[in-house]
Amino acid sequence: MRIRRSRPRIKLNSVKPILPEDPRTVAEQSTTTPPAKLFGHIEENLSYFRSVFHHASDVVFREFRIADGRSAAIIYVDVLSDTKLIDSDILSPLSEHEPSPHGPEHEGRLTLAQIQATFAHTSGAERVATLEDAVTAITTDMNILLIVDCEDEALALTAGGGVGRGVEEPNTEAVIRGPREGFNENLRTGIALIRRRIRSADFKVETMKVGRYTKTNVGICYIEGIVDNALVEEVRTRIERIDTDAIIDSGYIEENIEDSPYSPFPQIQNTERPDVVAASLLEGRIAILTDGSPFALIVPTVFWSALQASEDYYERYLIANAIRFLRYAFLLINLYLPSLYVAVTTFHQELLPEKALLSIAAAREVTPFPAVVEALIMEITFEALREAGVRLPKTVGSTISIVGALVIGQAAVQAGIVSAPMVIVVSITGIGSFVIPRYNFAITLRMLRFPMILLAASLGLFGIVAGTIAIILHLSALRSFGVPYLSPVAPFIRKGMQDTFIRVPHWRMSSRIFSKANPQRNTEATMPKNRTPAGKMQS
Amino acid sequence: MTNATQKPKEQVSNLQLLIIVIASTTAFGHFVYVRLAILFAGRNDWISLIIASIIGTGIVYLHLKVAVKPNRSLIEHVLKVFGKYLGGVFSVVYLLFFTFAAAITIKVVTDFMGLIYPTTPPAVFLLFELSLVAWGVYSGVEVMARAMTILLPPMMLLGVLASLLSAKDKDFTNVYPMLHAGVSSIAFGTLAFIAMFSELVAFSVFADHASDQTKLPRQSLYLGLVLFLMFLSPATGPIMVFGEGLAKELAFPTYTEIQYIRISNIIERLDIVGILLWTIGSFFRITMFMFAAVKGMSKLLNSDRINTFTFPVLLLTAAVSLSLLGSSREDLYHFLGAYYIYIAPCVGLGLPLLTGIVYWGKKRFTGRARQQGVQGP
Repeated sequence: MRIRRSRPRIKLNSVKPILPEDPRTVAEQSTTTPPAKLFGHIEENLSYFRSVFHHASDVVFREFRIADGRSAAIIYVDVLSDTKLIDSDILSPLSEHEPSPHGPEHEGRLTLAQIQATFAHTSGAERVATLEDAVTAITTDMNILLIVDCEDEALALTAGGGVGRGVEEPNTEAVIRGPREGFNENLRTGIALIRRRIRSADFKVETMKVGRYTKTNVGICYIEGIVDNALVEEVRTRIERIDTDAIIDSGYIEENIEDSPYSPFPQIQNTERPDVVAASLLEGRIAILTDGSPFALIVPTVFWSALQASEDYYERYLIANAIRFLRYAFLLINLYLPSLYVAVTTFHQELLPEKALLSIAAAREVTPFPAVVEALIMEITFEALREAGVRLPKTVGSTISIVGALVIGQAAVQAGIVSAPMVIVVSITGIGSFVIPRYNFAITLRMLRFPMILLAASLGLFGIVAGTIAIILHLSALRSFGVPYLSPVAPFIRKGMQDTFIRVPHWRMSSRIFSKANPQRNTEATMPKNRTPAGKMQS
Repeated sequence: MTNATQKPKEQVSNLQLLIIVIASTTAFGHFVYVRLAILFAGRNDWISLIIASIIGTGIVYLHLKVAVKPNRSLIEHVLKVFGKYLGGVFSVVYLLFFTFAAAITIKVVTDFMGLIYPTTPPAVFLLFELSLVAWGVYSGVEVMARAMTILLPPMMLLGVLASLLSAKDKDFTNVYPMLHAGVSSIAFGTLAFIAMFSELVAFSVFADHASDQTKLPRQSLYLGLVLFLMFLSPATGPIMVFGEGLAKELAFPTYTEIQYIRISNIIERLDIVGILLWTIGSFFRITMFMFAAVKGMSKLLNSDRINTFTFPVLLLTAAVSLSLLGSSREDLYHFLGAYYIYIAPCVGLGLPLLTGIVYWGKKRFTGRARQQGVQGP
């Protein structure tokens, strides 16, 4: 047995390379001319692949002889494959095998089909016939290419490996009661986490590659029989239409497929939690998983889902509803409190009771700026502190928050730059923004606060109402994969109200609003009246 | 006509369509028609309201049953019944009426806002209102309906809340004695409310957007009941709180009623409710009338592209509004009380009735002629 680790070498021979430095040309050529086939001789193949992967020090070429005496080679990306597995599951069996004397093919020579069926003890093995497919196999998920002399096809194999994070608790969607698992950057792990929750043959995953350079694996997950086929087709079409060089994160997919890309409101939900994805799939929605991103995308989504946390479904429904009402209240506070403060102090002082008015007037007496400038200074400072807290390491981040909130706030009030009521207003608003479970939605609301403050400063309550009408008009025009963003409230769908402002108990949650194909969830048997009372059981 | 019997692309549920009507009628009605009714009928305005609600329900039923036919809007039906020229003249009358109704609303809102923001130029409110309305009209009936579905329930809740909070100040004996000023005052009060119901002819322009247009006439009966309930408290509230004499003197009696509601140690006055109701309500009303005018114009000019006419109608409304801005509130109410209460029923009741009669006559005549043709030699 002779296994030799070859060094990457630049050897340009008679084989004409398909300009490996510019994969766009490969893509263009593949659309205009039929893809070039693999060569019949191993030397030609190797020289081609060496020219393609020159200056790629992580690509390993290992030449050896298989049991029937022919030359063979495997090409793989070092960091993406497990070398021990390659040795034990690919190289050893192929080198040590004794060909059967009764073998019908090629007078005792191993065929590629035999190798594929018998010797490739790896988790995946596919035959590739073209040079382009072979290059793709090495660089993407298959990772290993096996070429054998005198064969005009090669085998693309998989042998695990690679670097990656384990399954950890999601940082952005922590819960007190509920699963602690979150997606990581590996698409397969993500699919496995969902599959563990939906053990049905109807759970389907379609994968496709997106991005000319990155060739990122994107998985479309849905439950057949629940999801509407038209929706699956729409998602598939939108993803297939993406013609870009790179998909680095699910955010790229999101911006490329959403209905209204200029809207500040997110029309696609993202989550790190497999339980949220599983629940969404059971509602008739579709999840899009992206290799390299721990965030799954869920479509379609509606405005109200931004105020629903996964814990709402794990806690008792009365408690969950109380917390949900709190979120709605803080949604309004988050959007309106600073602008209301500005409007009331600037235009409508008569609305306040006398004591409150005197107190605010006394506090504002020393401040040199009008209320609107005060509000903008404080809001921008708060946003900067929040951003700094996110970007800095956790230990330093909390220090910054304390320094910012206590020291600077107190000093600003004492120096008479801002008034104490304004600090209170901005602090409550800031807390309100963190009550909203969806981070991207909370950011949108925070951004909308600024035009609302300016409207309040220029037109008082009329300006706030005008701003509100504008926001509602915009929201009314939005759709997420064809579903009106404000549904099931506008347009009103009675069945959808069971999980909008309040969540009804699970046994009452009988229908799925996103599924026309299979809208029924629970049957009558689940109702409490069918449960045997404890007393009767004892007797 | 190419688009005469086509169902519009944008469909909304019947409920959403009724929400548009309720939303666009309520706030303006509370602020303007209630004042007119108080001016005419005084403490008996609630009797006027009852009578007008019954007649008004009939008017809306007539609009939806007689003035339009399934999958056909008001303007299309008028053109079909009266032909290109006479139908065109009637259509223009409708369009001018809708534009004028929108412009009057802007004028009244601007006046109202002038009380709260005396230093802000009125044109600013006009600009903001028209910008929002243009956006709503351009977005289409679906978006309008959704926006109103979201905004109407809080408005109704605020209205109910204001009514409940002012209950402690109400003296129910202020509505007595009944019929003290004779029947004629009640008749004029009724006419004011009938003018309000007559304006709902604009509803017939976009009734073809309903998912089930055939059910709309029957559902208009519920509409009449809802509107009656929504006007009962505003019509009686100012009389009960201020008495007949003072209520007649007030520029905006319903607003003044809620203005002095005080929730101890939390909020001193409820001006905010008035501003909310007025701004949102006027937006609804202007949007409905402008959409009716825009759609009507597109049908008159036989175009399927409704949005093409948004900007011209917007400019026309702005021009009429600006010309009205110079007139005083007294002039406006004089016009509304002396002329508009007759103009609105003529356009909103007379024309649809005439259309229905002519259509019925033509249908009967054609049917008989056909019958004679079959039986003849």
